[in-house]
Amino acid sequence: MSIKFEKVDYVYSPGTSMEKKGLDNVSFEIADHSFVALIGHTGSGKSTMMQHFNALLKPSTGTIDIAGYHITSSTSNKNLKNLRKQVSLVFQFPEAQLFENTVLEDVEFGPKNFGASEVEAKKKALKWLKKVGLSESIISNSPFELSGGQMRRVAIAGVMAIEPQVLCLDEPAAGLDPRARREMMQLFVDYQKAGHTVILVTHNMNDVAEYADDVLVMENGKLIKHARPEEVFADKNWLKRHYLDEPTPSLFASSLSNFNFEKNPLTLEQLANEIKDNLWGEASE
Amino acid sequence: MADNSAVEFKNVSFTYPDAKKSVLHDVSFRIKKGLWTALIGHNGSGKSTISKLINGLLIPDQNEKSEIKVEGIKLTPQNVWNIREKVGIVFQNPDNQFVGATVGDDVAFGLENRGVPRDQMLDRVQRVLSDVGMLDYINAEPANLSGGQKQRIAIAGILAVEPDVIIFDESTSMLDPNGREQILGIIKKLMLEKKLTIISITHDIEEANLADEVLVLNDGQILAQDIPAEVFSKTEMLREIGLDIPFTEKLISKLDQIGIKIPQNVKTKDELKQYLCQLNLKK
Repeated sequence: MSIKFEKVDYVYSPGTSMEKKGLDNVSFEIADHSFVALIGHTGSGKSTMMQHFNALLKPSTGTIDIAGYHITSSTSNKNLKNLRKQVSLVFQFPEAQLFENTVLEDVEFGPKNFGASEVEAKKKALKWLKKVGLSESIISNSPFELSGGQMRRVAIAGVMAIEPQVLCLDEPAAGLDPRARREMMQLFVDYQKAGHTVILVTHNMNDVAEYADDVLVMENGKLIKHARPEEVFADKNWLKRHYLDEPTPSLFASSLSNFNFEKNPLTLEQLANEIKDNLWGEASE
Repeated sequence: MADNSAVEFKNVSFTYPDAKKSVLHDVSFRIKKGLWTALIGHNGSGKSTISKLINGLLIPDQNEKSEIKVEGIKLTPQNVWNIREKVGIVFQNPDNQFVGATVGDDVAFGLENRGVPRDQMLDRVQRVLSDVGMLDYINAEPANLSGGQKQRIAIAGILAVEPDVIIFDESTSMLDPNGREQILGIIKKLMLEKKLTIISITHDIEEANLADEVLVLNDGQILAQDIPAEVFSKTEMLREIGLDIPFTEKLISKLDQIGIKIPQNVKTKDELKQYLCQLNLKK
């Protein structure tokens, strides 16, 4: 049940003067249970692609296979409910979508909406509120009385309580402090390891290097690269040409002029070890 | 002297209504005029509360000794409007800050509000848009701009009312690396050219590293105020309060763990590069 795009075009406002291609002949396949990073500049088509994952947008031409659904331009909006249960999207600033009277009710809404009983919904809500690091003492508070960081957690708990097969998040950690950020990323890694697909839309190349096992790079609506992070970051000239950043460790490595790196280090761990190998020789272990 | 402080807090505490605990406890500090000060601390440490106290959006807890001064003037309920003329804030989400239908209208909003005559207004809108490199977009619709461009318009709108202090409250956290670099470059340029005082509230340690001074806030108290190199060498303290440490410090401690000792006097990224390259020559 992998995710497969085949020759997908998406045209905004077709037939008008505002006509614009959001996706341009995009084809790829991603394996189940992988951690995918979706990168590219503002306006490159990342959000357009994201909205295709659960058919909020449908391809103008081409087909998408996801979570057992086959989606084309003529797919009817009826019967998409189960798709939306299987594939959840978390947009930027999800805290703007909080609406219930209490934190608990807000998180329960998702599971209830997809048919969970009161008891089941409450159980799931409590489980995910705990997992996102919120204490039980705030569950009867209004979500609007919380700090920005806490509101973000409530919003993310609300989506995760649905326990979708595919979880797609747009910059979920932006604006969080470093500890909260690490905890949040670890939550997504654990979710992926527990047998789900996680798709992360991000500008942070260090996160791509650290967490992703598959990377999709978008530019002007086209998929310009689909590879593992090592491969994406290997060709520095290609990155420059497309105005993409390198992870900090690999950037630092390229500035060490008299070093010879066998493998381009993408994480701090790899960088430190490669420096050691250079200084001491590999035999000295 | 008080003369070189842009902002001064003396014994300031603040408690949100209905909260049991105060978010700021008896805080005193000075922010120097014409410099860039970065305010760092975890979510909920009181950073944004400080920015709202500076321009009187929030009023400190009652206390005789408590005092907030902006550009040497004591903040009182009577002069809060004058103080607000002196302090501009650029917020995190560029999409929440637009009121005009075009870029030019948006920048003019603050001036119209203040009854600035039309010819002066047109002039000033042009000038501030060219300061942030967005003059070509004067007739563009805000919705068609990138995040970085939108933040530049927000900055222009603030510049137009000619404040002495600009607070950037997480203003780069939603931007892509290009947008972020543009904004940081503009901040530096404005500070130097217009002798503005800059206060940036940020989680981005590399951004705080660009400032002249760093003020570390933890649970409503000031933990440190110093130049970035000094603050960021206190890695234990930063870790303890849940903040990140800059890349250079992280690498030094990682190398240390696997047996490569880096001397104390190597602090910046360039110094570390040089040291490692020399070490590699000598092997």
